[in-house]
Amino acid sequence: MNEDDPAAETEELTGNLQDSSEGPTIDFYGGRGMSAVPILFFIVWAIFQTAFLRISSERGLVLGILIGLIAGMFFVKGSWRGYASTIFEGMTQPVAVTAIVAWVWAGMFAETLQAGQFVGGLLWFAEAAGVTGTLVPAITFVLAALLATGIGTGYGTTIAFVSLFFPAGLVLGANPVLLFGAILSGAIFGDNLAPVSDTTIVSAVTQDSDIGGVVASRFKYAIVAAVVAILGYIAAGSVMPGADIVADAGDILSDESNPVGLIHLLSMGVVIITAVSGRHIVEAISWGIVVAVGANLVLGLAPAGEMLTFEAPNNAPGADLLGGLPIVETFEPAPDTSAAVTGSLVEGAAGFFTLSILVLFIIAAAQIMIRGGAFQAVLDWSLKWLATSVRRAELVMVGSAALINATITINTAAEVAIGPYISKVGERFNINGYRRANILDAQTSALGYIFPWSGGVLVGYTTMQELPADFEFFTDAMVINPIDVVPYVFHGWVLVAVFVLAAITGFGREYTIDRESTEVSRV
Amino acid sequence: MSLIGKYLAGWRFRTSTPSLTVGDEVNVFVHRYDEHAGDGDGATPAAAAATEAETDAETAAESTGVGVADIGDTRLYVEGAGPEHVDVQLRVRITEFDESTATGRGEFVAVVGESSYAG
Repeated sequence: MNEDDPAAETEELTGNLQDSSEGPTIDFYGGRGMSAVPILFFIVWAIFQTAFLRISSERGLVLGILIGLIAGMFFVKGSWRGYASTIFEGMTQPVAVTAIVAWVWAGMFAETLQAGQFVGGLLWFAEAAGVTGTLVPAITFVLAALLATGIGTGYGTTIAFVSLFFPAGLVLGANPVLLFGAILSGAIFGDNLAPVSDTTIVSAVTQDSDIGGVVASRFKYAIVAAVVAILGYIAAGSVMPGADIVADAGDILSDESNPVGLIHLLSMGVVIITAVSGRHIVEAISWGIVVAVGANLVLGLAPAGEMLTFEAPNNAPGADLLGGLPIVETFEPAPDTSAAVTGSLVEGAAGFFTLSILVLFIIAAAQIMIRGGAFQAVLDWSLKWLATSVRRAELVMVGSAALINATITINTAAEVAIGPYISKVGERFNINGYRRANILDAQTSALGYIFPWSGGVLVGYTTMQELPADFEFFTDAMVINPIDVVPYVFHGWVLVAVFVLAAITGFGREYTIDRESTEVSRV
Repeated sequence: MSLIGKYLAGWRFRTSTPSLTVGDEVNVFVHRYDEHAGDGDGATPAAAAATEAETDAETAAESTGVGVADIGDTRLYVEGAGPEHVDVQLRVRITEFDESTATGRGEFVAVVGESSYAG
């Protein structure tokens, strides 16, 4: 492009923009609002499935959005061809593909960290620190936050901590409800801040921002909320009675604890530093994977086979030749056996496959809403009546993101659905991409771990139901009712409060004239 | 920006009516095109076209409307922007700014970006 000729540059860009924004408009029976049918059907389906029936299955949600897309078609005036083409147009938007690529990379990294006993390292630290009683919830929050920031999955953190820290913490004299709240709070912290978190990735790419920049810019909100939450857990821990259990916490922790696992603080640091330095997220996570795999092999934290194994029938042509490799296992073919490729790298990537398909269809449904005019109608209405100033606009962004995440259990899906709206309201007041991404993700992360129907709470509750089988002292009566933990997820509540105050006071607000976010490179 | 700088950016209470500096170039999303807005002061297009600054820089046809951008609650009228620039990010050179009303004017320089979601 000729930098000396702004007019030529302008013309070229304008031409490109017109090409990209031009598209078919779709007319619906009942007016432009009916183009919201696919998304609305999906939201109702998601609430029905996840909130009322407590089934947090992404496969079920895929069916919900597919039926929604089919239902919407019956309201189209004239030919359905334009509607069908718009589904493809939506699915091929860069935003979805970028998120999927980053997720798959992040999944490989996260599973490899877990295979490498990162949890064991944190357990060792907790044991070595010798914390008891009132400080246990606060320390549990910090360690859960550390794990979640490393592996980027709040659900994974909740499972790991409820399985091991929860019973150990009870023995150390912590209050059970407070301890569960502290674990969920830690999961929120990491889900919100980790560059490899699925919600972080979605928040960045839907707001045209680089993931490293988003992480650095949201640190201030996360740390303010975390400090308040820690103080809250210390204060509450000193007044709420602990569980009265006679058992040895060391017995629970020792089997799993391994100081060497803390090496993965380095793997995690590599990803954070390279991403925040401005490297492409794929490059940053790739370096993290290299360090994590190398550390696992060199320090004996995980054998090669735990990260990648080809499970082949022994009559395969290369079975004899390759069977001796550490990443190849052979078996006698039988009706109940099947060949597979397993290990942390495969499982980590595959863990995001269903969510990837789901996101493609949600983006498609959002595109139908854009082409049909319902999106513009909602936007026009809220800009006229609600978001009439920048302060009110930010409160609308906080409120709408919070509302949709409080109602849809799988918070990543909710975040993708509300992303375009947050973007448009923010652009209207020239709020930069980092600020928009931070408003979006804080509500997504926080509200995904507070209510009884939230995915994070359900995961923790399900894991807790397994504990009586694992620990003698743990009775069914000690399983916490999800409704009881709601007030004690301190970091979640404080994070939402921080953003309400930030919207009112302007704390952390950045305009496009202050600093522009760098878009995630896609080519 | 340095690694540390990225973490320290934004630790402040930012006003809802940011100031603009005459002569600076800023990148802003234009959200509306006012066909007969003139100066944004309610005057007729003819009155708007009569000012010296505008007649020097623009043709009469261009001066009949302005792009409107809001940076927070600061209003910026962009001369030379057309209806095709709505929801498009433009580089704008600031020509006037009134602190008391948080209102400014600027000249369209170039298109620099597009909205996250076209449609």
